[in-house]
Amino acid sequence: MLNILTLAATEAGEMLEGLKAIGAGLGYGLAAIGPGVGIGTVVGNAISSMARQPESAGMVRTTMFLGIAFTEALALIGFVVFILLLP
Amino acid sequence: MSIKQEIEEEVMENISTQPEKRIANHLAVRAIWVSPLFLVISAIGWGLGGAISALLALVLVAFNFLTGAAIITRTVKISPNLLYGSVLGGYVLRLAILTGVVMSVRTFDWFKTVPFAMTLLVTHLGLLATETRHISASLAYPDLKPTKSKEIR
Repeated sequence: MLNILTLAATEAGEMLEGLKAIGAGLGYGLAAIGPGVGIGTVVGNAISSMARQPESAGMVRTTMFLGIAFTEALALIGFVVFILLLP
Repeated sequence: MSIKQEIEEEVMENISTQPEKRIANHLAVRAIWVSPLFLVISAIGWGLGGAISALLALVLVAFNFLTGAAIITRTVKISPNLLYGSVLGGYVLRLAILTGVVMSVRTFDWFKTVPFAMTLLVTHLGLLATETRHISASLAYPDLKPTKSKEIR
C-alpha cells in the first residue's frame, strides 16, 4: 500500500494530500457506524413498544423521530470533519 | 351538544396521525425563521459565497428532516419490518445525498466550507434542541403541544 502510494505521489505534497483524503474518507466511514447502530437500536425498540402498546404508537413515533434526528447529528459531525479535512 | 363536547370532537379530529411529519414541518418552518441570522453572519464573514453556502446547508437540513419523516410516515402503515429497513436505508441514502451534493459543489469558487459546516451542525442540533420544548408526547397530543385554541378548558 505504502509502495503504491509512494510511486503514485512523486512529490511529498501530493502524497500528503492523498493521505489526507484517505484519512477523511476513513474518518467519515467510521463516524457513520456509530449512528447506524444507534438508529437501529432506536427503531428496534420503538417497533417493540408499538407492538406492545399500539395505542401509544403516536407518542412512540414522535420519540423515535427525535431519537433518529439526534443520533444523525453524530454522523453529521463526522461529515463536517470529512469536508474540513478534504484537500 | 355542549360546547365542551364540540371542542373535544374538534380536538379528536385534529389529533395527528402523522406525528413525525408535523414535527418535521415545524422544524422546516423554524429553519426558515432562523435562516436570516445564519445568512447575515455568513455574508459578513465570508461574503456572498458564504451566504450561499449557509443557504445550501439550511436547505439540506430541512430536506434531511422532511425526508426522514416522509420515509417513516409512508412505511409505518405497511409493516414494522419495512419501517426498520427503510429508516436504516434512508439514513444511508440521506448521507449519500448530502455527500453527493457537497462533493459536486465544493469545487466552485462560491462554496465556503466553514460557514457551510457551521450552519449545518448548529442548525441541525439547535433546531432539534429547541423543538423538544414544543413536543407534548402525550396520548392526547402525540406530537406538538396544543395551541391555546385547541385546549380543552
